[in-house]
Amino acid sequence: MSLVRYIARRLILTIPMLFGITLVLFLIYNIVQVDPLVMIIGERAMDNPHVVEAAIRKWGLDRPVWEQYITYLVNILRGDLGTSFLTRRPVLDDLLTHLPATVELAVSSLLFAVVLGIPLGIVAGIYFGSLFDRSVWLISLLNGSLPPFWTGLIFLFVFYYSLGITAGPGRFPPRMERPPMVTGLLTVDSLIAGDVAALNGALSHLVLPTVILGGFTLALVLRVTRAAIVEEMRREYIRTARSKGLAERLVVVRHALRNALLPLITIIGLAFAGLLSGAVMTETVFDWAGLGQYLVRAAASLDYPAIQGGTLLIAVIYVVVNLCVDILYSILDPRVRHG
Amino acid sequence: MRRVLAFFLVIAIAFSFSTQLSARAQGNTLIVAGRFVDVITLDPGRAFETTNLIVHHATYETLLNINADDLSKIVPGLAESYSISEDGLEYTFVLNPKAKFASGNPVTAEDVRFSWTRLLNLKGSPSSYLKDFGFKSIEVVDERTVKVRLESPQPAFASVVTAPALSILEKAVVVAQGGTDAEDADQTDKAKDWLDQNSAGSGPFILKRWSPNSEIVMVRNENYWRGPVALEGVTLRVTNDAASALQLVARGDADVAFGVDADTAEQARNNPDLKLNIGQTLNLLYLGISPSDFFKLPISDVRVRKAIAHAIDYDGVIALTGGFADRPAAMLPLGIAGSDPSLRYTRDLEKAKALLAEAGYPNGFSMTLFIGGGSTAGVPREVIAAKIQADLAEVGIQLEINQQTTPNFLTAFRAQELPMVISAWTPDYLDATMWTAFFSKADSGVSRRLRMDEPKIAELADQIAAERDPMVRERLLREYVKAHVEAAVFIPLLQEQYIDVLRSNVQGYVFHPVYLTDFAGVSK
Repeated sequence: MSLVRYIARRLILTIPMLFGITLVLFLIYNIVQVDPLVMIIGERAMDNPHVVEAAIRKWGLDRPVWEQYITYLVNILRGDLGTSFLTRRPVLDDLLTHLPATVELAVSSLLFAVVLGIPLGIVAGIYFGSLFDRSVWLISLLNGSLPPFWTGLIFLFVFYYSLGITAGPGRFPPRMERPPMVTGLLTVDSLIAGDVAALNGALSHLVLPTVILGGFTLALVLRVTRAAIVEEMRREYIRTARSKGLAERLVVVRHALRNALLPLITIIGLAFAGLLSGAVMTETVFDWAGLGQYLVRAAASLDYPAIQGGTLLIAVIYVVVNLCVDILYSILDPRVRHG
Repeated sequence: MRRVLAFFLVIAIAFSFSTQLSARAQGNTLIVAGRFVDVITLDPGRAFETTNLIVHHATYETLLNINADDLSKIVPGLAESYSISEDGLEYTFVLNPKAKFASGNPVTAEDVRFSWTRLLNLKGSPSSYLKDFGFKSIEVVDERTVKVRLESPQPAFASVVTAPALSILEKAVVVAQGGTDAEDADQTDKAKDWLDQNSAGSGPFILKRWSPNSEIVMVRNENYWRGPVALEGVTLRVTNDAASALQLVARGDADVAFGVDADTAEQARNNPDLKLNIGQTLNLLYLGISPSDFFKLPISDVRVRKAIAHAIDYDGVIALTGGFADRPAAMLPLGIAGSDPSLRYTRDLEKAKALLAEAGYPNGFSMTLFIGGGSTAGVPREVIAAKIQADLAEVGIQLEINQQTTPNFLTAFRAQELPMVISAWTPDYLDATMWTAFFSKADSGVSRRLRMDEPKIAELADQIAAERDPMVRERLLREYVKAHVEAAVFIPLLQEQYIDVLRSNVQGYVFHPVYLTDFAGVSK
């Protein structure tokens, strides 16, 4: 099967999956017996029939359930995810407002995890059992098991509040003028504006949340790399490579690492999708106005269009990331395509 | 190994960014850190939350005002004077000739007519400010005079006019952005998106930007008709909890930590760079006990309800807030004329037991107490509920606590399904009817939800709503409070105090029970 056909087949398969997600969400919402009107117009205005009637008409709550669902599906196909009960803005606009913050933190966390995790994992794997290996393993174990909201609070308290050597919560220094909004990614916008001080400000605010959020992924990447290297280094072909007189560095990079790459791509892909879905705890601790916070608030107030839109977005993120992982896989290992 | 070192170097560089942080400071801008996450829109015709009140009070103005120093006095705003017709049905407002918008254009009678008609026709929640007060029509008499007609006499109307929802917008600007005051404005008005990011008012500040869940930026109105204010701007910065707001203020990254809890306040007390600003709110937390036979519970007997009222350890409840709270006798907060604290219930276990025995429950009984989420004065509902549970257990009343998410709780409460609740009430404007209209009638308000049918209270509420003489009104309110204490349906537990932590160089910061704060007089 050619690569193009493989991708096409994978894409077509995602359609029923996304459809299924909307249906399940819709059913759950209709099983929960809560009057969405309270959330829409507020508790007090419920006493005002004129407001209640206008709201019922506006949100189409007077129409049968199946009709509401079909309208919703048709609207999605038109690129309209509906209007949030809570913010009263189009859900798509809301998601796009909150996505850049999440993307910025996710990318920076992933870079941190990969750039630091793979080399550390390789070194630990090569010097398996050494003191370095053991200390790295311990740190990664701690990193992977301490909850980020806890370490986040501690790091803020120590490095920001007590020592004052890092920036505090939020995405940008409070007393600094933000760069003009272009992408919503503050680092990129600062670069576009050619504003070094703003870039500095945005990066400084990324440091702590990146260490916290990325640390979690780092631990994962490190352990997988280490395990893969340890396993590969024991294989016959490595001995062969060595016996050919190949330099140790080349043995590791060309042979062992290449084979360790496959499981790593899966892990990194999943971790990235997870990071993009919004790291609720880290976002909350660092007052990071991202997707995670938006969706938690939507869920807490039964803001059904926002929950459904956000869930769809997350589903799409996972589908796209998985697709990319599979494509990379099939390039690295053509056997996958025929499987 | 060299590579590993290189990576550590990268991290070290990243950290070093944070130390070069000084950068361009926005000199005289006030940074306020708080939980400003409730903003849905900043269109005064549509917003019905809390944070918008702060923003609207800073960027727009109303015809009349109530200042924090005297909540019973209505003072001029954009209107220099107003008069009420003999029959109480007609209000005439005369605008201050000096009043002008941030654009430099004068505030005219047509702007007033447009703003209020738009509010009404948007049919959003805040339109109830006019609807509920029998607003009939508004008419431009001349450039500076508007006449408002009401369906029935409403002495509270002048206080309603001070509500930020009734702010005056510059018609030309709003219309240019797609706004309209037409009958079908709820379908055709397109100004919301623009008003979410900009303001069209005459207030001391101009809205520059709102980034949802992140910050609201306002800058000084250099054209302000009363003269530019001291601050260059105000930024409301969203923090998720008081602890991080306090950290920002302590490090000087913010000037005010807005609405913190008692623990955070205690921490701030020990820091010489910080000071506390404590304001009395009009927010009440109450225990509601249904007097209705519908539930077939002992609480339909007034003696049982009084026994409950006598069993509560009120001082202990207030202690949960760190002492940052008070309580009135009935659902009329302290600070409103007629609210008499001497009528409050006090803890008396002997009396409570005697009342229970008299009602035929010497060994008590069991029932369910329903609560939603959220907190008052920093104390979560479930903590208050657990305290009440423990207090009532001492007289043999066994409560089971049923906590639900706030929307679920409110849905059931509204459906008149809950016999006993703990809930809260926050005013939108400063008039006694903000409470008497909602806690008195069998067929409306919160009293309806608890199936309370107390003709005497309902009748007093009607008299209060119609009474124009402040002296008579105060006497009626005293009777109203007394009647409520007798009925023991709504037992106030807390009247919240609002604690802001300020950096010590912030001057002129005042709490206001409706607008929360007024930045016009602040300097640093």
